[in-house]
Amino acid sequence: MSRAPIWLHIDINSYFATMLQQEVPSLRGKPLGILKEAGRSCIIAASNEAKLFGIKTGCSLSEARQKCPQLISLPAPFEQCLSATKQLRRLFYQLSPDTEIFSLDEAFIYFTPLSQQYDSPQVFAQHIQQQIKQQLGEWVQCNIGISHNRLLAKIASETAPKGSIFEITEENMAAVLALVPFGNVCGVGFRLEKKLKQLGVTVPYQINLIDDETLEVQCGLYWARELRKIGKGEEPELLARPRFKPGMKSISRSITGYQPLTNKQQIKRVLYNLSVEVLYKSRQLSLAGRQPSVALYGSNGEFWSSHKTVSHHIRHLQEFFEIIYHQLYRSDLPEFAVIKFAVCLSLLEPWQQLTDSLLPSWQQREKVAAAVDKLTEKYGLFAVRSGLLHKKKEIIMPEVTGFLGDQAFQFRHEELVQ
Amino acid sequence: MFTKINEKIAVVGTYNHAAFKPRKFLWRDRVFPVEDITFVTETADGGIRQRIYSIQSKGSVYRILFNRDTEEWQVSEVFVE
Repeated sequence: MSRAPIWLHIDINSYFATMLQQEVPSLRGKPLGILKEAGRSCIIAASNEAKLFGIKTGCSLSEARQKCPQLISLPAPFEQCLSATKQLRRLFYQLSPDTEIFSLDEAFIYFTPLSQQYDSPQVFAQHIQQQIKQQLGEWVQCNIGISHNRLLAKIASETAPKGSIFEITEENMAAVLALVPFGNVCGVGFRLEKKLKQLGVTVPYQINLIDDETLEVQCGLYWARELRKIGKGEEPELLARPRFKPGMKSISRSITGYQPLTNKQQIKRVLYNLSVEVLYKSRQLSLAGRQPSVALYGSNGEFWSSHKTVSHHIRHLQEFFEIIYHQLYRSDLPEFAVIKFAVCLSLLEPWQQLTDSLLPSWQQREKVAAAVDKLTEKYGLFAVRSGLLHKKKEIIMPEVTGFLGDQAFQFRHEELVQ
Repeated sequence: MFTKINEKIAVVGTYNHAAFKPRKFLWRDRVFPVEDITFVTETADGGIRQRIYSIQSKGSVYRILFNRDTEEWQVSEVFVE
């Protein structure tokens, strides 16, 4: 007998701020604005208390202080949050093998196979809430959304009051879709929201009132099709496709500096630093790519990017950096002060599907890279490093992002309890 | 915010069902009782695995770090309002 599908979406409330409040009890109940690092000026997360003052992710610290003079600004506890995410992941997989980690603080669990174990999805959701408090601490609360697909389960958790459980059923679906703003709908970003606003569409249900042609002209063919699904409460492609698949297409790393850089040696150092991380991750995941790319952003809106597609797959830092720096950056030499840097290795393939080069120079580089891998495995990243990175405190270390785009790397040593 | 200290300490604790709980630590000749463990963080950089206990003691929150390879303890940070 087939059972109706039921999904749960678990979302830890204000993750970065909540974890800090869990760790430091004197911060509980206070408005916190979380920064990437001390000295930064952009709020990357706000506590529930700060949100009451209208402080949102992305607003500047000065703007936030105007709204809430008593705001406490603190750097994000990235290590603590990544460790907590790993604990959550283990917990979710213990509860169900049908778990999808969606971001640093979000996961989907497919409830249908568990329906004989628990009286109802609500009972299961309450059990999850208790387990999270038990493992991460009494201050950590989560919203849980329940529905027949991931889109609606996520909308349910986004719209639920803090720390509560909310279900979207066939009966209340139209009402919810007619009330929820696009900001709470997965996949619909700021730009798309703006385009829809021009059509007078501010909530998903209104999409049903727009004809196909108008939607296609305004949003393009792809989004017209995806929005049509969202309007009916169906899963868009973003959620329906497997998120944690082994075939990663690219690995990238970007960083926004504290101040714009014009010094070519400093720019070289940053590009090298980011290249080390990209190649380290690709080697850890046994992947090699054919397309290095680099992008630079100026503080006055300048932008420059370049890429090169090569005939073979790159596995070595030396070769990757040679292309990034000498063949791409140095050949163009963009003349502006750089505030943001990004490097990327695309067109990735698993090593097992590739043939090793027989060239002695390649074999030699591989031996060196394998030796560095071994030392890194034992003593940590940047324990062995180029003279370009001789000042240890200036090294840009890997960091986790809320989106957790590198979860294949972050969870590579985690054993699944299934 | 958390301010770096990185000084060696001595720790007394208990084992219960394979889980270690620090009970007090000795830092600069003063004993700090562990009033509450507010969070435990596991980190790894290469083979260097560390466990950081966030603990409340005498009105402050300290991050005390256990290097699981060298089996050394240090008070790594203290939260200053």
